[in-house]
Amino acid sequence: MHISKIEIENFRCFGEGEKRFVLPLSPGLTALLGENDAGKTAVIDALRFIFGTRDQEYYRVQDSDFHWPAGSDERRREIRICCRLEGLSLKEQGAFAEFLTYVEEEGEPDVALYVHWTAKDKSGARSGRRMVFSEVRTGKNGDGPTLDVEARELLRSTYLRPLRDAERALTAGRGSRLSEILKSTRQVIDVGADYDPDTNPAPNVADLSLLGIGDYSSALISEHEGIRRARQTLNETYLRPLSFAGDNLEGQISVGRQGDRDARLRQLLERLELELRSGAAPELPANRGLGSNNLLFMACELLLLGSEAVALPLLLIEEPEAHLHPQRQLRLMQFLAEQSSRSGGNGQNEIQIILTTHSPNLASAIPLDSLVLIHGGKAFTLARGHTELSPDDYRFLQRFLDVTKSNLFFARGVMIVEGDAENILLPTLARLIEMDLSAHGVSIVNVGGVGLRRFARIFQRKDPEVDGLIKVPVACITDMDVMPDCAPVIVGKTEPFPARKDRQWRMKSDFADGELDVRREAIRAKASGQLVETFVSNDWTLEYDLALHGLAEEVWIAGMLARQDEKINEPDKAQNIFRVTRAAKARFKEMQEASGNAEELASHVYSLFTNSPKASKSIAAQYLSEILEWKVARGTYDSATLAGLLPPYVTAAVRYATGNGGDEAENGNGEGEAAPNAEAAGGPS
Amino acid sequence: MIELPEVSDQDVQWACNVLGLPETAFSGPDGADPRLGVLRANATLDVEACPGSGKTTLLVAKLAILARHWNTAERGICVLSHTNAARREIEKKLGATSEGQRLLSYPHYVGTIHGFVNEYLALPWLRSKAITIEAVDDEICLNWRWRKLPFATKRALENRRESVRRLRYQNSEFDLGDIPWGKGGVLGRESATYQNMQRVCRDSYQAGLFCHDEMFVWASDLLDRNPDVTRHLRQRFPLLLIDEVQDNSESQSRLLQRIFMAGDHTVTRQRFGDQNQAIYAYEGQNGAATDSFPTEGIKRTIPNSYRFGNSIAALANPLGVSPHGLVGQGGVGRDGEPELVGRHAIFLIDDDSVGRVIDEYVAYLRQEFGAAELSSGDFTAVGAVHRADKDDKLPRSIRHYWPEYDPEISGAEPRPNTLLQYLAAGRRLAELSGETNDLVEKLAEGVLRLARLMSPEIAISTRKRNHRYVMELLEGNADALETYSHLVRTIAVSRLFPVRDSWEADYRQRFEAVARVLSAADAIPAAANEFLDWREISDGDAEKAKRNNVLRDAKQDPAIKVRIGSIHSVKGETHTATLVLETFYHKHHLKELKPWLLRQAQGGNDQSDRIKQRLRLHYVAMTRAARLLCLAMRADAFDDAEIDLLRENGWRVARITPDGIDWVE
Repeated sequence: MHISKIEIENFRCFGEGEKRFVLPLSPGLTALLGENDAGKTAVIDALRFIFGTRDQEYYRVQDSDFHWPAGSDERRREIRICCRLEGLSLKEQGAFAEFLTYVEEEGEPDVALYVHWTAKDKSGARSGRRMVFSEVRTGKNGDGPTLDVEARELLRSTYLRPLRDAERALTAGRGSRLSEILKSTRQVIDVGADYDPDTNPAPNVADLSLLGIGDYSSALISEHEGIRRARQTLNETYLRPLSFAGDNLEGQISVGRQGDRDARLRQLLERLELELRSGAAPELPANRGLGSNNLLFMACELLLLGSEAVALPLLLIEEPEAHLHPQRQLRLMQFLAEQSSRSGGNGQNEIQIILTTHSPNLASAIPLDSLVLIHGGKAFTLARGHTELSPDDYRFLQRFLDVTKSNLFFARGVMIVEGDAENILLPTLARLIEMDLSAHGVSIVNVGGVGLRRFARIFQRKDPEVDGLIKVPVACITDMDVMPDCAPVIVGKTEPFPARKDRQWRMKSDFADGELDVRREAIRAKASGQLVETFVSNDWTLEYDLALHGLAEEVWIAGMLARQDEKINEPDKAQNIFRVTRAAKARFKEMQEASGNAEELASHVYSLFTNSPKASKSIAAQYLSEILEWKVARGTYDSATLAGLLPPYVTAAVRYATGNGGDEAENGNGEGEAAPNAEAAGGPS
Repeated sequence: MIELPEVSDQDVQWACNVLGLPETAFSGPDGADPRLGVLRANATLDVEACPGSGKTTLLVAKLAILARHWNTAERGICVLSHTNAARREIEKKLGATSEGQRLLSYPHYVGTIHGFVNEYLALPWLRSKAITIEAVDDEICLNWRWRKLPFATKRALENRRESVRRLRYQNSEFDLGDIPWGKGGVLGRESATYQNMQRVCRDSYQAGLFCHDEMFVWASDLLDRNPDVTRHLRQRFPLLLIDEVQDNSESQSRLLQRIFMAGDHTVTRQRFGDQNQAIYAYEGQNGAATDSFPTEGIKRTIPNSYRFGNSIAALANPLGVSPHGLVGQGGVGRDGEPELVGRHAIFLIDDDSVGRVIDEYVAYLRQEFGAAELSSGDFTAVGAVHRADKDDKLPRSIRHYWPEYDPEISGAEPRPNTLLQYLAAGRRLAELSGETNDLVEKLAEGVLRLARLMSPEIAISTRKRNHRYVMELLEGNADALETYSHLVRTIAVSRLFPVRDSWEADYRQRFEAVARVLSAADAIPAAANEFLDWREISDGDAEKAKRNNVLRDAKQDPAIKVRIGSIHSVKGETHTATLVLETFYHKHHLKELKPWLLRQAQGGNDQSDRIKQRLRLHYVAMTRAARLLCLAMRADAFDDAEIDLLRENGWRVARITPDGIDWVE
């Protein structure tokens, strides 16, 4: 049995009707990703409300749980949470026989269990007191019978809170989690005989049950010579003189309190604690950090989950990354994914895990189709069939979505670029023209030349009519790759040039009137649509376009510095830079005078990156960043001037990704949710 | 298949203890009582339990022991019957124990067959078809259909003396069956009339209105379409217990058999009943043909009755259609008064002395019982026919013995016709139980009925908890809610019953206002006004209602009461003494049974259905009495030789004359 769909209305950040929260789920592992306050925890809490949790904690519905629509005078008064459960085993169909809904799946009759949880705020209706009533019903429309308490018990989920105190949960003490877990373990309860004090001779300890051993040892202790003596002294020497005739006071010394089986067993189990020891050094005292204890804790919970025949084996984990270092996070994720996919065989129940995270580390370790983006009060599952990604894309991204790139799942805006130079330059340029990327929560993903569009398709929905759009502006930046007619010679191509079909490169004269626009539109269209937009360089490449549009000297100097980077890094670095820069400036002046037009000049500048000794584009990008920062700091440029000097496609892309792009990037969802264009500090956390 | 728990001696003792029975109640003094075998049995079986065998107690004990060892949270026991008697018995006897509480809740089911079919099959199926169930109620549903019929169709039906009762379908295709039409003909299925009738049925299905029996139609429909349902129901209920199984109708039997027993992987089924007492099976039917009860190979008989002694057992035994060989182990008075051997009497009457026989019965009771038993005993006079329209062939019905007898108020509570009658009925119940709940529920039921009368278009049915339902419906209308709560507070909590002036001046308007909100009606139809009219129901009326059909004789001390009613109404009861009255249907019943009374005949499996039905009815009547059994028959039923034979068999015989009683000695 697993949850196949969640619908939430009027709960915290989720609205109703069109604005309700809908999330289809597959069996196995699902990870909810999103920035802070996106509603990840609300989804987990909704599941806790509807199913209850095994730690038997009781949650009160708070006033703030009722959704407060933007612009409305008051909160909504009814929260509705509905889950559809599918894949019921025969036992589960039996257990929920009176609550089932008959459905047809591809012509085959099947059954589903719908659970509806509603909480109504009736405060003020009859008195001033705050009153919230909740109810759990079944049936597709919630018009079926109320779910009995005992039946609901079968649906309880296991919940691991964020920043849990695993150490406390595993140490001995009243109500310890470990004792609860042990108590639910069949062997602890069922195996062995109880201790019978009348047995003679004394029982064989190996035959006794756990409780039997406990009772037996309690009996032995209270019969121990020392104890017996002390009791005798107490009774005869002290209590007897204090007693009235015929009403003797008598003291007993025994282990622990008396109680029924259940209470005695609980007391026994509460005395146990679980420690982690490393196999390599078993003799060392167990003193492990929070992280290790957390792993241990999760292992215990999983043990408990898999052992029941009828139950909703649902594990809710908030921020499993808490207390774990990155490598261990990866290990944990692999383990959880394995547990959930491997379970379900040989009569075991299939474990469904729903977790929330803001760790790119975890996100990169989870299969892409198990991810769900929570954004703007909506869920966007990346499961197959819900995105524009092809099966091939899934395979590709599974390999190439590393930790760094996984940032994009948490971003408010994304820029996808093809090289290191863009990766280094764009944040600086954006900051200098006052559209700071990190302040806007924009992530840059450097795909290194392959799969630009595949990454973009993560953000494109198969059925935007139904799902809505992922309101994260995604700007892809790519090159036009058409050089001016003067350039081939400058970059060292020898005339006569081969026929167009026989060469890789293109120049402007290869294109008839209007054909350039056709080429640009074709490149753009490959990765555009919904909130994904491709920005194509105006002419050739980033460096060329920068040089052409007004930063020719800066790019030239940066290129020259890059060419001599190794020398510069020898002693007297500042001196070296000064020397190289001065020489470069002089050379630039000559070149400027010799060049007939801007294209020729820019081509010469760009030749630094094509003609031997080639300057490294990424090193040049670093120098260029420094130069521009310095110039802005010195007041040579103000941000407006600089913006004017940049190629238009760069500013357009930055503006788009930061949400300043006008209509296409309309992001306000009107629900009080901070939109990307809001004045927000801090990036994705 | 589930492993049912082994029942140990300690379990049996524990059950006796909890139920307040002697320790040998199930095992018998010698440990050989068949009840013990039934308690221990874990296989499918049929239990034929004679009258007074403590069948329901045995069932409850069995359930209590099972509940004690039940350790799966998701599989349960299914206990089905025709009434909620088993459920009430569990509430009463085990309510205080955790076992009892557990039995009455998930995952077990204890209730009626109808309730089970609704809850587990029909309603989930209809909900899955996106039907919102508004009401399962014959009256609401049929009236709705009738109103939706075109005028011409209604008139055509009325002209043929057909009525609203015809508007029922028999399968999920909305087939209405053959409808007699004209002389020996049937209404063509293609005719506009038939089509219109089908259409209103289909419409009512869409509107969520159903007759009770139509729930079986949809349950069967589900089984046809999702045959796997039986698998999960069998998984859920590995053990099925059926009480009063002899009263199952064919359709109930067929459905239960299909759900639990057909094909492989059947459940363990234990049926309890007594074919000799099958008096509720439908007219002209021998009960259920499918899976008939009992199945010989697995039958256990409990022939020993704790109710009466061997003297009554010997007299009643021949009337069993399949005689059990009744053994009487009771018959002793509460204070140890000895069994009244040789005192059971037949009163012979004629047309003139019919009216005297109950008085002579009272006199005879005074003669046979001591003061203690007279004042505490339960004395009855019962007859098979309690309603007759003719006055020849005396005695036709109970009324001929006692003209004050009113068949309308016999047995079940009559359906009130005015709101005040609802309140009065509620007040009676509340006085008996001491719980306000009974009165509140009746009040709410009346309010819902009023709303329905105001606006027959809307379908407001009654629910399990009517009061909550009314509150729910009124939610959002603070005024109406306050008016309603005030009425509940005044009438149910403060027990201020309206008098005529306050009713007309105040209460009436307030009820009307509440019902108006519920029904959203503008005008008040005449029927609703009538329902609201004042009828004199004083305290005296309530007293009289209680007293009705009870003859009280206070001529001597102590005063004694004789309850008079139909045999159907006393099924399952135990009386101190019973007088079985001769009545007439086609023929005089007891006279027809003369060979059995004379012990010239025994059993009735080879007899006609009518004789079988007579045997069962009078077998039930003759097995009620713990102490004393009397019959009233026409004198011309017997000749002198036969009277001698009766006396040899253990009866005393007396002739009732207008002057007095004349014992044949």
